[in-house]
Amino acid sequence: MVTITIGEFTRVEGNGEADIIIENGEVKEVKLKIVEGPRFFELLTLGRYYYDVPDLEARICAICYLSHSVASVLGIERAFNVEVPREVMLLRELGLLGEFLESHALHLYLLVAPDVFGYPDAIKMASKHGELVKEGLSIKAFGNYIREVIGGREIHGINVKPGGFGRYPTIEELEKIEQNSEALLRFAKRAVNVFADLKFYGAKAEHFVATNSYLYGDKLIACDEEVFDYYEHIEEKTLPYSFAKQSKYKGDIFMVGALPRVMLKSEQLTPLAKKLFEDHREKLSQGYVSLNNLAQAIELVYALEKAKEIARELLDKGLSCENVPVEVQEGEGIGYVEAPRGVLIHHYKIDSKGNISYSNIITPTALNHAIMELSLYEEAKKNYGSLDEKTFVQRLEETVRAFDPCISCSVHLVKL
Amino acid sequence: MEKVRIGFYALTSCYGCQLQFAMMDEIVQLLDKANIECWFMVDRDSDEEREVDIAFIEGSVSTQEEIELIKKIREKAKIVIAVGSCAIHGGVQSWGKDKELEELWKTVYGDGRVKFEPKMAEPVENYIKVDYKLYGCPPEKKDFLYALGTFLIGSWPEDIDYPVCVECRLNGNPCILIEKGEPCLGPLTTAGCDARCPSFNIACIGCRGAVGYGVAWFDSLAREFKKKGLTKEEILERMRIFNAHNPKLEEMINKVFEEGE
Repeated sequence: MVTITIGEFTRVEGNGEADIIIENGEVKEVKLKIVEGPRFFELLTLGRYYYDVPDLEARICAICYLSHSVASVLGIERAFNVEVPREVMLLRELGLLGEFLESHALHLYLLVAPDVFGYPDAIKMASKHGELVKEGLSIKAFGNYIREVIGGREIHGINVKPGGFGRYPTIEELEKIEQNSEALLRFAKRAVNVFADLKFYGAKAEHFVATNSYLYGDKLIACDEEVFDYYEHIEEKTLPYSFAKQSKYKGDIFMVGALPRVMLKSEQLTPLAKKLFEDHREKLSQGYVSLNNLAQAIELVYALEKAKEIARELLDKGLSCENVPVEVQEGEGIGYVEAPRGVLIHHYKIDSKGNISYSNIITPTALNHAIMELSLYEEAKKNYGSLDEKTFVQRLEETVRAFDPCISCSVHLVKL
Repeated sequence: MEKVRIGFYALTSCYGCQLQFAMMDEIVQLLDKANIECWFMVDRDSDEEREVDIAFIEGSVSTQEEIELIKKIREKAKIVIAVGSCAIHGGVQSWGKDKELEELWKTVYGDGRVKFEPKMAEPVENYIKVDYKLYGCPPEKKDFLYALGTFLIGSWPEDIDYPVCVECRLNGNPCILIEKGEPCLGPLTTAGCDARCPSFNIACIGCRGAVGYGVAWFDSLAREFKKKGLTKEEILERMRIFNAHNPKLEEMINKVFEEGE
């Protein structure tokens, strides 16, 4: 038995590796290992007063901290039966769109594009495709700008709170968001062309899972038309070789992320994004995980159109800047958010004093663990023996990268 | 002149510190004057085995491997800088430093077996000598710029010895503690963030760590805490979020509440 280890795709919610186990010249098994030290985030909040909890949970991840704080806030508000007005929800959506822009741009332009054009990294790619890299960086910078305005800081801001915000954006900031969304749209359209030609690779998921609204939800939906709470059909189990757990939907392997979102929720896309989706519907329906990249490019268009729409609506109506008072009561609530890389779940029980008595957090990279492993297995099986070892490993890297496993920055390995 | 050699290393963390710095516009100019020997997020050609002049370390020490790694970094680096609240005080993940690891482990993973040996999160300083610290979760971009820029011209950056309140006053913000009665930790927390959270009308959560020096208004501060019904235990508990491993924390809080007697 031979084991090929792909060491250190340093960032899949931290530190990840894969073992490709080969027996009698054939790929027998693939083990995707998350070896980042555990941080016990769920326990960190136990017994703690609800008010600081969204800020603590944000620290789970730098790349999608706002998704974590919004999911946390939604869970807490549902536990307290707090209803926030449309204005607050729209601003939260705006923040999440900023996170899509920042995260998708980083992933597509700096990490996936070098694969498309055959370069080892974005720095070397920039000499030939400088314009494209610059376009990506300007979308990313704009996403960060939105995160700073809505979230309070580019990374780990504290502005999103149960009941509303610490500070509301100014007219000037909303105008800037509207103008930049419009100006950057042509770059995003070009991205869809660039990523439409990607090869098919990876596995096909048996199921897609997403939240019922485009950016967040009060329930999950699946491609078999089920509408459900996560604990009804998603089961987590511990693996001996990984700090991250593995999940199944009704016992089957499933996927969360941009591809499931556009496939399940195309009706909610903005006009141009919808048109681009229709143009590529046939291809996307093939369901290979590599198509997640194309879906992300379509979502860049969606995020810009939607951000513009929200900024305009808020400018027309004017902001009331009023928070809803939060009254502490015993309760239970789940926040579902679409983080850039898929469904993110924060589930809390809160006691009558406002202290957290139960907490469960499930991240998209954990939900995708099984389909990532399966994709690696299928690619390894297909290519072992026919590709030289360097190209073989490179292909497996690309496969993991398609999932955008947390800030895949570091899924640039490779120490063999 | 030979270029300064830089390394940026990550232990257990959210990778936010290096993400913050990697995305700075000014980094391009700085990096012109430096050789990156190891920074996996920025440079594919990175190697932990190389010698460096300045080593930046982010994250808490949370596995046996990480202990070995930082010892190696210390041997190969002239200056070691701990970056962010995880590297300096263990970060939010070290809240439970007094709890039994096995107990935590069981709660999250049940009886399922995982073949790794984790340990409780600890600051880098528990294992190696640290020469300078960049506070914050994450530190501000200008913290990084200041420290690196100062080292690059052959000087040594200074410590910040005053609390967030100073910057908050300069910004003309209404006081969150006095006017809203919320448990703002600004008076106890090291400045340098330009009072970021209070400027968003949010009580400071202490991410830059307890200010390491006594300040003149400790007595009035303690009276204010008491007046708002905030006990020593509550303030201590809130400060612990980002200060679990700060050896001076309790001493400082005691001092605050004694002076207000």
